Amino acid sequence: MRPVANSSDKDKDKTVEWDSAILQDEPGRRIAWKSIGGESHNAGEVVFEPAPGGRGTMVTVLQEFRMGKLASAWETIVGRNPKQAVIENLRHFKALAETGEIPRTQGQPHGPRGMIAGIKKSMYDEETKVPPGLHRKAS
Amino acid sequence: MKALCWMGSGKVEVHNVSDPTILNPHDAIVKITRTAICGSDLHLYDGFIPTMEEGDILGHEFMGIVEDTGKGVTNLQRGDRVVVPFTIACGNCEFCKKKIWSACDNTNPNAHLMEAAYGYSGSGLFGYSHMMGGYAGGQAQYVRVPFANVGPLKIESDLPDEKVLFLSDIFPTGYMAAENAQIQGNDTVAVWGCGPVGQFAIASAFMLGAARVIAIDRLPERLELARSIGAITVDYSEEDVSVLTALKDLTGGIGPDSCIDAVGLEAHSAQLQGIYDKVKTALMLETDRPSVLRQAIQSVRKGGTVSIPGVYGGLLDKVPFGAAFGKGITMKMGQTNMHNYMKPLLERIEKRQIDPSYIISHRITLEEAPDMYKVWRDKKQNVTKIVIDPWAT
Repeated sequence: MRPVANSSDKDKDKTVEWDSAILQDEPGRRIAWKSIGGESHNAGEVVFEPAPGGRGTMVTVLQEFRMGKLASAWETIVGRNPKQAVIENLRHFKALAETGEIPRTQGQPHGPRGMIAGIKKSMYDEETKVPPGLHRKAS
Repeated sequence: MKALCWMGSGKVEVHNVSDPTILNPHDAIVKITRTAICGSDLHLYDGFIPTMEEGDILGHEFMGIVEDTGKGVTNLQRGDRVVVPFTIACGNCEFCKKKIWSACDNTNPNAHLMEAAYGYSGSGLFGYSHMMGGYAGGQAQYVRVPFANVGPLKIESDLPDEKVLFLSDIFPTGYMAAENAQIQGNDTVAVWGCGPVGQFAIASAFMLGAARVIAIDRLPERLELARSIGAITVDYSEEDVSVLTALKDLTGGIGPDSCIDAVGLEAHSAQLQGIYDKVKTALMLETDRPSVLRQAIQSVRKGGTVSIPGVYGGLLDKVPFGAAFGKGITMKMGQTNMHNYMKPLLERIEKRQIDPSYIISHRITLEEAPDMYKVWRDKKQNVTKIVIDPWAT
């Protein structure tokens, strides 16, 4: 399996590629993987279990990252450090599964932003990175 | 299009901005025909609400004509007249299914911000800070409405906009406040705050069977409106008036059965507690001023209910919780579950049981809005409610 992660800033596109090996695959229950080369070191597991009281499905993601120091510092500054990224990915997955879309405000109108607001843009959804393919025209 | 933008504390300006577009499959674009300024917009204007950024478009009470729909919207089409609820709900998460629409899991793109403050995030709102979604609001000529298949209410009759506009927020909010007050027939209900939400809480309390409603405020125009719909009024700014004593006297010593706090975090009090709260908030040791909440808890009868539609944001200080426990009171509160109330309340309007437009005092253009924010904040010109036609010049 050769997944590709794309991150694009206004100024440059950045692509990270790696190969993964599937360690475990129980359909509907668990999938585990480990990277085996390429530019990213990561390993993880997604577990699906029935929620208590029959109220749906609990999804647990365990993910381990090893990143270069520079990449790690940058990601923390722009607010997309790995832990938060996993949490947001889970949140996006839940929204997609329950509603067919991920809530967003990128692309909405606003007045002049000013200096501080411009710097803070990455904190708010306006610059949030979403999985590729979700910016397709919806109408 | 033209839109009213927050540009800092005490500063709103009309700017030319890009028109909204369909971004998600369940979006609709609505051309706004009428919108309003809400009392809670004044919290934004005064800088009480964190995570506002220069350029944010304000406004969460609006209605208009559907211009365009995403491919996931099958119940609305171009040309439909709709009133849009200020909370955004997906309709399919556990909370929406439990009819707690204001707690929707899937409509806040910045949920991590609210989680940091509150532990969990509620639904996104229009025009009310990035923590609550960062959605562009409706004090503008067009707006993008997410989950248009869930929220907007179609208006099929030819009732004028003014009579149905307040289904977007304040009428359901006042009604839910009265519902939360758990009113039984023959009850006496006390309502603090006779702004628009308080007005609809008073009207709804009568609709739900209250025998008597006591309305508390200090502004003559608000007290007059409250009397016009049948409430007894108490002016707390009058010399020698103690609200607690007045409520005891009016109820033969037992206290009101239910108390509704339609004031919230920016409460004013002439007494010592008011000075305490002002100093503490100035020093940032307290974020909210709960004078009304204290009075409600103190005055409600034993076993009574305190209903809180008034917005609170942060931390309170010196709340008489011993009194609350000792009297065994119930407190019910929260952001309005709009989707439960819009249709039934529209029916009441159509049956002429209430004409919500009675609270409107000012009808203005978008360009006049920045001045009116200041006028209303300073309580001048006897403002009770300001309605904007964003296309008028």
